[in-house]
Amino acid sequence: MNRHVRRGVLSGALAIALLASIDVVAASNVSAGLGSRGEVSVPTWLYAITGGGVIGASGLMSMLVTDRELLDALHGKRAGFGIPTAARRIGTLLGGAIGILGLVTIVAVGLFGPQIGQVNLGVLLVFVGGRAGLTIVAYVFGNPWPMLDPWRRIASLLPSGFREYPDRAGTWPAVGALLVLIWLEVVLPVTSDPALLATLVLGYTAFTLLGAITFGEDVWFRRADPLSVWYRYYGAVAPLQRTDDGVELRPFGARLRDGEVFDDRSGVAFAVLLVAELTFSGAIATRPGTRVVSSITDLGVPSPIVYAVLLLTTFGLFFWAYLLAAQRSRLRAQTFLSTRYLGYRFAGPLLAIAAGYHFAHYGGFLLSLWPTLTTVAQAPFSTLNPSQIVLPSWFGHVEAAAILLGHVLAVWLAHGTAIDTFPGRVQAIRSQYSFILVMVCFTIASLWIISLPTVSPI
Amino acid sequence: MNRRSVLRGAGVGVGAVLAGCTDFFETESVWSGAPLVEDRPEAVYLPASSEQMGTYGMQDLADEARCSLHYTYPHRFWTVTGSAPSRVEVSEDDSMHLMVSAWDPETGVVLPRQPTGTLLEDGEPVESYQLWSMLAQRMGFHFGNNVALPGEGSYEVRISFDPIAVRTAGTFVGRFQEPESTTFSIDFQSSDVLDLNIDEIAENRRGNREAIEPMDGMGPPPGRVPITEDLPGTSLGSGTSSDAVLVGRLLDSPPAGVEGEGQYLAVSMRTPYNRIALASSSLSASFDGDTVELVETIDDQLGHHYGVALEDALDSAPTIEIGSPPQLSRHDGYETAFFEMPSVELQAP
Repeated sequence: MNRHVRRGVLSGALAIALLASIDVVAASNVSAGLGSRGEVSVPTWLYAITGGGVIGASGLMSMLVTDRELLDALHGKRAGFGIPTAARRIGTLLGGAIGILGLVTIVAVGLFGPQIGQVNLGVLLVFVGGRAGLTIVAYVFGNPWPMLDPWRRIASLLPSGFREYPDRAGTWPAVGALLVLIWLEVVLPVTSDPALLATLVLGYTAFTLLGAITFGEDVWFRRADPLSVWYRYYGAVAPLQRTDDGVELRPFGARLRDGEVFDDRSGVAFAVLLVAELTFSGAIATRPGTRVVSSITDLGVPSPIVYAVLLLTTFGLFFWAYLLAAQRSRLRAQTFLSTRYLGYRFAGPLLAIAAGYHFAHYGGFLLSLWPTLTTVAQAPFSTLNPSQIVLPSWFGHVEAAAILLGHVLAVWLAHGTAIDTFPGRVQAIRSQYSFILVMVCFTIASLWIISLPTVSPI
Repeated sequence: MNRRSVLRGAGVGVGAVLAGCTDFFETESVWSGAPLVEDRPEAVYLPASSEQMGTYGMQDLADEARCSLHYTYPHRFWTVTGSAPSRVEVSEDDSMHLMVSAWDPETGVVLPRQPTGTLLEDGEPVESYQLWSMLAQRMGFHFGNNVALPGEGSYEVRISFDPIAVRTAGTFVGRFQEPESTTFSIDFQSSDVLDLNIDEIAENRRGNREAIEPMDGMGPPPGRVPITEDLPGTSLGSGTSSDAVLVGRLLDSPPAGVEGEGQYLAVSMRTPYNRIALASSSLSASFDGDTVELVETIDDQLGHHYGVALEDALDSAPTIEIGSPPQLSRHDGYETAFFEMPSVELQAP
């Protein structure tokens, strides 16, 4: 045991020391055109070390904690806070008002405000507020979306439930809708054409309300609405979780081990898509990425088709790798549990990885444009020259650390899940090998992407 | 210590934390992130975008020159000292980019006469603006700078022009020799600036060796010089230097107003594609072992050019040396050209 501890601590310390010694890791973030474009240089050897660090950390935890009681003590800490009904009502009312005001602002300022992305409040609200800010709030604190969701508020006032939502559709409609949203974000000038963005938001509104009216509000927003699922999944990582009578505080990611976040394969697909989406969006804004795209468009294939194929391929590849890992895990552990069950039992850690990736890609973006957003919000029609924060060079360390942290958390959770799932310790440890391998591949790929200088996609 | 002082203390604390946040990080104008073409050639190139501009009107000066005041988004540019550009970023308090042009309404020849700007509020001066002579693809030769205004509202902008800084010839002889000034009444509204379009140039064309067509016909002329065939005199050929085009002409006699007799050597230096006169340079010509300085001149026939009256008839090919590149601030697309300028050999007459 002592030997294992020493080895684990050593490899962890080594990874941290190497991380701290990187000279220049400037921030990078391009959400299809918004924000500053920093130069980045992370030495290549870092990736190997990082992968090693993840394995080391995973080794450390697996070896250290195989004691169920200790695991439960670490994961199981929770402190509940009841919220009085009156306070909850006020919160709901206030949140709904803010959400609907936000939606109206995005559409109105998008259509009638300045047609320049970086000073248009609509564009800033969608990308800095929603894609970056609220998502970060969701996994760092807790999911704010149910309180804000303007579409759900509107839908709750309308008659609904004319058709039965097909059970076997699962979360697939949300997966499909998110794929379409990601694709539109890449192929349309949504950050530089505010009116176009507003029109798309109107289209999304119509689609969402139609869906909610047809199939019923509850099932639609739980299963088919990509934004609700997006925030719910990211929110599952957070320490603050909703309970029947308030909220409870738990360790980061502890809920992912509960095994109730996913209940079918389509939910797993959505979680994989969160990871794949960030990898895809990051990759196409690098020079190798644009080279791949332009080499195909040079053959005469229109770029929207190229992007669609690349997005589906990335997603398909990631999903396949994950399912393969589940299958391998089943063989290694020599269990009677089904691959399908193992697949969604171990999907929770994917969300921790997604959160780490998301912060690496959007943390700097949010910080940089935060003063822009708040300045423009005060005078949406007449703010001409707002300020933005120049990301300090050390922020690159934060980005790399976020990816690492996400992975370490994921390995830790996967370990906990394995201990929960399998009766034998050796069986539990063996079951994790394939998942850890997949995670190491994901880490190396994503660190490589944030290390590359960003260019504007074609 | 009562409740109020506690609250005040807490307020101060929160204020300090927020201030610390913005003090902790360096900030810049959001326009600093305006796209700049990657891998720019050392030549005139197509920038990432071009801005539309709005007008505060035109005025005629007492000496019959015409001038205009225009505005657009604040944007980066490069000032030039000697033979190196230095980049000027949009600062966080800039309200807009102000542009002044002066020209002769008869001929459309743009006048290199340095203006200064003064912002007046209720008749009192509140700001004074340095205006750089500038070169831009759409606007051509003009004067301008990013300027800060105290806020939205009505102001007057007084533009004071120096006497013309170059030799005058032809119908320009003796004109524009006195300082002149005029005043524009403006109503500055940020939303007016925000209504202007920014036309993005297709990604695959950015950085190409070409230039955006200048605005011609509406508003101030961009300061183009005549096409080679329309220049008076006989051809001495042409050459390029750091992407600038130098066209040589030999006239039998100097234009009116230029001292001296005999032949007149004229060199018209212009941008490629758009033929914008490249002013504020110093040129000399060498032939038969002699070197003569060329004098920057405007003439109604030759337009803006550098010229000298020759004592003896020219019988060999002159070499034009560029002592200093055009001392003009540059907008995107011109900041990499016209710097390391090798001499150009023209043809013998």
